[in-house]
Amino acid sequence: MRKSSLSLTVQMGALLAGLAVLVFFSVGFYLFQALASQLRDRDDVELRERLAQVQHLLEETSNADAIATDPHRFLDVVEVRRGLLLVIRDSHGADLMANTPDRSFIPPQGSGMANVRRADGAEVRVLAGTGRVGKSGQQVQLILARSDVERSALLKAYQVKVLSAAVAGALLSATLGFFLVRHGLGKVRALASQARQVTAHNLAIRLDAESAPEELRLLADSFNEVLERLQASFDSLSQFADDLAHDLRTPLNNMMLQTEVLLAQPRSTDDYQQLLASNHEEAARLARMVESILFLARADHDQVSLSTESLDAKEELERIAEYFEGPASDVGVRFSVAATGHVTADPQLLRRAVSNLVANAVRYTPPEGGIMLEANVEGPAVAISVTNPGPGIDAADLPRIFDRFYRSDKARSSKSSSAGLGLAIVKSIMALHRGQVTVHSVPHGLTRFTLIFPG
Amino acid sequence: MRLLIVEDEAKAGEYLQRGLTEAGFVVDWVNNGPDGLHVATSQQYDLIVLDVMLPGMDGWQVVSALRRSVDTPVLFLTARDALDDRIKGLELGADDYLVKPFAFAELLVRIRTLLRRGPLKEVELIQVADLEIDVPKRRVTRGGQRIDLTAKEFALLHLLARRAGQVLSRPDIASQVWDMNFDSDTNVVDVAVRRLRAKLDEPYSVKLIHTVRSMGYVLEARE
Repeated sequence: MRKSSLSLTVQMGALLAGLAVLVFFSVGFYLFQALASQLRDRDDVELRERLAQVQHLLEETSNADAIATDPHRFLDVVEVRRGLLLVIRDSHGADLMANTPDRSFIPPQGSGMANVRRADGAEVRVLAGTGRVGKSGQQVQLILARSDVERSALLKAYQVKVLSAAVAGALLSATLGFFLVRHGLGKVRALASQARQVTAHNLAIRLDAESAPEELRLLADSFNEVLERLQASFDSLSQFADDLAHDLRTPLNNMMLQTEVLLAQPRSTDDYQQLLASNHEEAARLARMVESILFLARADHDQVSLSTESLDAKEELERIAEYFEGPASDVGVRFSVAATGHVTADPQLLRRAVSNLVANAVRYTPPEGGIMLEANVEGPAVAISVTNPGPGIDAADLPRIFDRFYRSDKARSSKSSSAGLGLAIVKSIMALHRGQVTVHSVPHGLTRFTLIFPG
Repeated sequence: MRLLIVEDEAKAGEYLQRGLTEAGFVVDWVNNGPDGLHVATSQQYDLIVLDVMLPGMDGWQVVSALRRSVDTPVLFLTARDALDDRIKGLELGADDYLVKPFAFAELLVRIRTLLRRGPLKEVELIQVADLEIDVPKRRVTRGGQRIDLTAKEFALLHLLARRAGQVLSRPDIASQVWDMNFDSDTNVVDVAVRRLRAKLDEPYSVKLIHTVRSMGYVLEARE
């Protein structure tokens, strides 16, 4: 399932670029607005200063007619800067002087600061006020205006600069961001290339979790744990295949060898009968082995159907003791059964599990020894145990005795075909019952296997 | 009794035919599915032994086609014994199945059981040579002499005597006498037979229980 085909690098790079564009343009917009408002404020201050100058000049003028006859003093005030417009009118609205023919910027009435759109469409800042002429005290209207042409040009230029700076900054940040992300994700790629080297034949490789960044360490650690478990199963599977081949070889070899030798020359009927019987024995051994392996394989995949019922523990253990009574008494071994309660289990599988344990117990108990079969109710669970005296199991062997084909004696006595699979079958049967099997062994003391059936 | 074997593997087919002929049946053998279906529907048989994996038409197809016209008992032989396979065979109309590898003795028992049609009446008095078993009273005598047996010894003798002349395998005996339905490699059966012999055969010159090497045990009067 692949939700997005874009690489993490591209995704993060694009995010960073977007962020850079947003930040740079916001800052640019802010700077532009700040400059524009500062310029406007400064212009307003200037307009007010000029108005005050004009008012002052008026006070020094003798009468209104002198304004029209000698406008230069007034023009000097406004013509120090380009774009300043001045119109002086008498109280009836008749022009006394002006430095522009344009009248469209004159606000209809009132005084104060206003924005007015001129006939040519340009925005004009207008300050209207009144003044008194010298000694006559005659009142005149003053209209002072500033066209935006100069300021607009300035702001326009500034806007271009800010905009290009923002674009350049955003591009630079995005590019740098992309490379930074790439560099940062290099650790991930390194881990991935380590992981890619892991194959069925090369399961020993582990990711270098130590040098991975903290965020990736958890991932690397879990991946290593998975590898650990995989390797363990893989090893045991290989071992199993190995052992299986070996154990199949022995009876096959017996059959081939004796058949070839006997067929080499004519034999008596008795010889042929012996050969056939022997071949049949070996074949039966192979068949038993195949049955056991199939059982284990099915149990692994939960394909064995359980038909559980409530069984009287004492009855079951006595039945098994009775079954083994013959071979046991042959070697002078006795059984004692102490059981209470009922166990919920598949009767055939329960018997098979306990029988496998008892068969081992009979094999290892010295003459005159006693095998104890016990069942105890422990809360909702029932524990069935088989205890026998004997040489005991080496502590080093204990963790492995439930492995398939594991034999503590390396001589691999293959007299009995189920030896090597018997305990593995016990373990599988307990797993099918969601229970477990435990073992406790004291060298030259008691060995106790316990089957715990959950309630 | 006429039997039909449908089995594609030459060795298995040949020996099945031979073994069953020697056991007293008239046996035909064909080695593929379509022939099997043709012969089974055109001739009269008392029982059909049918392999599942067959060329042309597998055993399941044969049995479902067969069941449209014939109700001859069918015993399946199969190397596949997953539960689904078994259920499928029985649902399609097979009467029994046997998983390969099987003991020939087991096949004989199954065939005889299917041919018997209906439960066998429990014989109350079994006689083999001078051995007499009174089943309801659980009394065993040889030449009129009473022999005392334990419950398991009696169960074992009863089984051998009931099937006198048939070889019983060790797993078969373990299953019938102790209800242990798995093949363990203990010598439980051998020990039990040895003890039974000590009481039943040792004091007498004519031995009744015989060991068939590697196969199991049989109870019969031999010359």
